[in-house]
Amino acid sequence: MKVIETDIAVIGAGPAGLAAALEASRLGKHVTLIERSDDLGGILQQCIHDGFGLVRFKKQLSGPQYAERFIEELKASDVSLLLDTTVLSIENKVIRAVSPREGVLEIRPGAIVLAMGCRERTRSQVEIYGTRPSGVMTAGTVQRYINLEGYLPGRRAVILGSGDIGMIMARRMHLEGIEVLGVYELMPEVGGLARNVYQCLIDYDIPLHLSTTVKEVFGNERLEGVRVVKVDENRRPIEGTEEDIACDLLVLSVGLIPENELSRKAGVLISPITQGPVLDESMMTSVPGIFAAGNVSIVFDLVDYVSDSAEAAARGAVRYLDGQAPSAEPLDVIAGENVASLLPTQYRVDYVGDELSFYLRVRKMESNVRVALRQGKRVIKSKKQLVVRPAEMVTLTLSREDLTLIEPVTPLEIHIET
Amino acid sequence: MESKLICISCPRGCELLVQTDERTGAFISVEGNACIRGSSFAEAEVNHPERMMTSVVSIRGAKHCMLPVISRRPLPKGKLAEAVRAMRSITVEAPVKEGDVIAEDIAGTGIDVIAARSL
Repeated sequence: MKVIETDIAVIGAGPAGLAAALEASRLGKHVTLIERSDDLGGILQQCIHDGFGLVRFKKQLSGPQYAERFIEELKASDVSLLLDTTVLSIENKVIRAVSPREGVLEIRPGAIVLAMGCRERTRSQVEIYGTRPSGVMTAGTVQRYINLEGYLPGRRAVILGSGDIGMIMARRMHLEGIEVLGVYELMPEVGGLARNVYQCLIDYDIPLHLSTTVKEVFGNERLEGVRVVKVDENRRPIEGTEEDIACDLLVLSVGLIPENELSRKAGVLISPITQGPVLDESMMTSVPGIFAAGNVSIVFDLVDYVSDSAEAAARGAVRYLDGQAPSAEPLDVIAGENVASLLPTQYRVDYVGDELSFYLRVRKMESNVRVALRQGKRVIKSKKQLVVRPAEMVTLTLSREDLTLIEPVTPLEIHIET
Repeated sequence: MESKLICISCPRGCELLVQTDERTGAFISVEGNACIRGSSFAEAEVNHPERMMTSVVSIRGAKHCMLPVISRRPLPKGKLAEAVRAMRSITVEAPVKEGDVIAEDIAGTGIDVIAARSL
């Protein structure tokens, strides 16, 4: 069995893994980047629509264009690449992987950055009754069929869920000649960004039905239709509002979950708030020397922030290797009023990095609020925000000076204050 | 006349309230935009709406069979469907570099379509 020694192993070569590998390499470490497929860039390669990179590059790039910038830099770097290599387990910071060319590999790094991304929720994770025909698939699968494999997976489509990928695929399917009958959303408000309602649905007269869900599917071999139903404010179906729609494709855009099967095997604690690992300010998990980057830690809405979080994780891993990792007992960061999800959930007062961003998602829409980080009665940092929505991540960035206000005593809390 | 638009220039998605001339439909003014991009978007959206075109074309001799492409600039909105249709009959040979011109003057717009990645 081949054994590889390296400073930092990065698992996953999507946007997070690419950014983490490059940052650690820039800081002088030997990096081994491990990727399951034979391609770099992860999901970006099938996200052919534009809108990526506005924060980082001040440009609206398509997914492949965003990835290309990192891939070009990677090719010029001395990062070692293991493509077509699937990680099976992480035990005591030793990585077991397998590839068709090398067989079983053992990688022994000084530190690990987890960058496996997230996965789509599937039919089995939402309640839909009925048969199990072909033609029921996630929006990402439809995207892969059309954009990577050049294959149209249906003729008449219904979309369940109004997440961004669902709306983007509504437009894409329409432009490729698939009849898109409508987008159905269980919640009373849209799941994705307002601009996608405008440029993906309104532009093509694709109807959006809020507080409506797909209850049942029909068809044996192939999907023949779905039954939709309106729901009340408690999301219970309203009897008598059922409607049957003939279609051969049901596209699911019903949420994303951080992918942490490997993280669990490695023994890292998973946060019930983010469904990703419990992380401190340096993106370090509960296992010293194992870090997390990008959507494996919390589902971001912009790839630009995925890259930022990955660079932060890489810097954390480099400090850890250099024996400069913060070692103070971590303070908890508590998700307060109207905060549904939060990163990081721990902070160590001897953190030495420059600035620090907190990322959060709200439970419900509110207007004219303050986003406030508090310690006891003291406000460490706050900012005004015109509106907060569940679909849009909120960031609160603290400067080095702001961070010196934090004392090693009581937990921190983040609230949305009206 | 008053109408509501949503700015698509960035993920913030500002809700824009646009005033247009009753008679000609021409742009007069906009409120609700958080930045300068919002006002140029509103004016363009009223007078000559534009969208970026992204699609795929067939590629031979690469590890994938489809190559993602993008228009160099936004196209007039009315030309979008025709431009996407035109992509279906294009096949290129690998290797392709990101930025290579894949189709010139698409749908008579004078705008080129370029490769979005190297393959």
